Amino acid sequence: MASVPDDEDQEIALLYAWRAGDRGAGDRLMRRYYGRVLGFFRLRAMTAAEDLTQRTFLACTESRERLRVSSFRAFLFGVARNMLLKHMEAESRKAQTMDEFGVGRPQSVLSPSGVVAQRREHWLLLRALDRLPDESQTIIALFYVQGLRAREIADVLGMPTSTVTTRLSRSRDTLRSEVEQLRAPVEVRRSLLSDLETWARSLGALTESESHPR
Amino acid sequence: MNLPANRQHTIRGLSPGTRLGRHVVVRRLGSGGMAELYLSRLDGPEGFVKPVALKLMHPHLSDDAHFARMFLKEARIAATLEHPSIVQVLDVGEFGGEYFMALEYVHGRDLRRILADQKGKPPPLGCALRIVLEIGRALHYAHRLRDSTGRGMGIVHRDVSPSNVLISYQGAVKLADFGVAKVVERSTATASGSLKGKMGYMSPEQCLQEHVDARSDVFALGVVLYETTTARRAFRGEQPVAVMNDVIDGVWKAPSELVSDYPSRLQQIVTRALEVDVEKRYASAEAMVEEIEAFAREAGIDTRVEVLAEFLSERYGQPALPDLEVEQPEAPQIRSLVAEMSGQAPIVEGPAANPSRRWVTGLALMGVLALGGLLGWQAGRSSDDPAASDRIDARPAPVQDMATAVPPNSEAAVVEPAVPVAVAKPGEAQPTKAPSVDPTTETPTAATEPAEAAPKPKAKRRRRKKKPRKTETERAREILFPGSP
Repeated sequence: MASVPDDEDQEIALLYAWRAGDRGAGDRLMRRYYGRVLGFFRLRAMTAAEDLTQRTFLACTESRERLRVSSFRAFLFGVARNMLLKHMEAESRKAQTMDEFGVGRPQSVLSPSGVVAQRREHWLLLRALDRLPDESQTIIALFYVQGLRAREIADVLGMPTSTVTTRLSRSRDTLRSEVEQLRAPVEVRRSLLSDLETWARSLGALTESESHPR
Repeated sequence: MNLPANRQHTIRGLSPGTRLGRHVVVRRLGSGGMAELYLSRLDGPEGFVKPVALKLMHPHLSDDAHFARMFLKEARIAATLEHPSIVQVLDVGEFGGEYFMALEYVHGRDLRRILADQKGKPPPLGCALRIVLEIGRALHYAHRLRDSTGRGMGIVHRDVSPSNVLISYQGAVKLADFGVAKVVERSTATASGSLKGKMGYMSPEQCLQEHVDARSDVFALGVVLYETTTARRAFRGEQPVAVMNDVIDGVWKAPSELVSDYPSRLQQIVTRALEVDVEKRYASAEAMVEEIEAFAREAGIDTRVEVLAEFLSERYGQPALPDLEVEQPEAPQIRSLVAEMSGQAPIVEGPAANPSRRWVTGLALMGVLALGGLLGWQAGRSSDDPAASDRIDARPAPVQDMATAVPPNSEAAVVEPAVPVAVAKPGEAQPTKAPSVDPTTETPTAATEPAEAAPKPKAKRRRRKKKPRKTETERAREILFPGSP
């Protein structure tokens, strides 16, 4: 999953080519990252994930400024992160003003657009993640699920790399204690805690597996 | 999609007039996660016609043995159920490799739509209680059902939610979609099972994938009671896991916070039904029904069917029954399992009765039919997806193995049958020009005027043997439970 620096230079070149009108370049980037960006959104905003993913890629071409980040994916997930924040803000405004009924359909976990978590460990992990503060969720998602390096996460969040390292370790501790506190079958909890990081990494494959790029 | 040519037609959907066994497709109603739903009609003797809802499994799913099994399992479970408040399975068969199920047609709306139309205002309490009581009775009936040896079958619906509750304009309440119902005894490995049902209606133990029994349906019934009496969802949120956390932790707003004069006794009933701890919940749907009945009696709330019928008629008027007339352009040969079992196979169907009938555009004026619940997951999604309608309606679905076929050089012969696409929604696409003949499905035979006057079938319809007539349900049972009395 981790790309080598050569790849990263190439991806930045592809982005510039895409912005300049080279659709083939855009296509290559989309094919490489669509599922991953979708997975990123699915963890946090299931119902809007497809829409947010498309908007993220659109925003990549619309922006004209030079990249000041270490890699294309740091740039991409930075855009995605802003999309997510805006979306969540709008959602919470909507929840306050609109009547609760009729907003969205009940989620079916079998829905093709949903995360089909077959393992109980995954569900417990997702439930625990949901309880973390937004920033912790993002750091864990980017580090474990997306496999970004601390330096790249620092770019996404606009903070020093050292801060990311500290917060990552703190987030992991909080996650662990959430897993310990949530109501869950003993064996599932034990299995999850025995290798929390591997389970967290495996969420990547899970959120991407059912992707349907259009 | 790489399917054999003889199955291509089902991907594009069935065009009006397609015959599946004794059923003739009138129009498409919508699409669910597992199946496509059609309004169709069942022809009987002497011009007798009856509307049925035809559920055709998605072709790409029938390749998957797992889904085919699931579909047949639903049919099998549903066919054992005979209750006025449970949607009845009338027939099960196979069409071009795809399974279909004919279900009782409910002329009305699903509860989700009714509540959505209320726009946050709860329906009259008597109506809400009537609905919950009826589902509760249906659930209790299913829960305590025993097989022929007298053993409890342990049926649990597992997906009780407003979209699976159909309400006829006459006030009949019907529970639909036993698609994820579970026969508890037969599956001991609940631990490894995947999550099934709708988030926000699934019980805490379902969310945790623990042992599930009738009390899970009691929980879901509690959510439905909450929702019909407050017009708010008990558990909602954008992220399924967040909803799941609320369900497992028992976090919900007291109805009295939402409805000013909410009866405290009713709130107690809701609270007990929504208990996170199964042991504290009502032990059965019946126990919950009894408490609601007692409450209604003491509070002097009228829960008779008339109250519900009156409410619906005030809200929706008296919508006419669906128009079932459709031109009979095609006469495919299909295998009806029921027919085979009852000694009528192979059937090569001719055109349906009265081929000179013209299709009636009146169909376009019909209201949207409320059959969302029958669609299973993602009910009603198709109505938001104009592309899907295009795919279905933009061209005719040539039918394979037709007893009558189309002349190779006559486009019109194919086009004619396609025109009577009954459009219920303005968003759906009407074919604007003559679609071309699909070379893969074209059958070079010299039949003429299939549209105006449907040709006689090449093969003679086999004479039906004189046999004691069986009811539809009996025949469906025969194929579902071969060998059983």
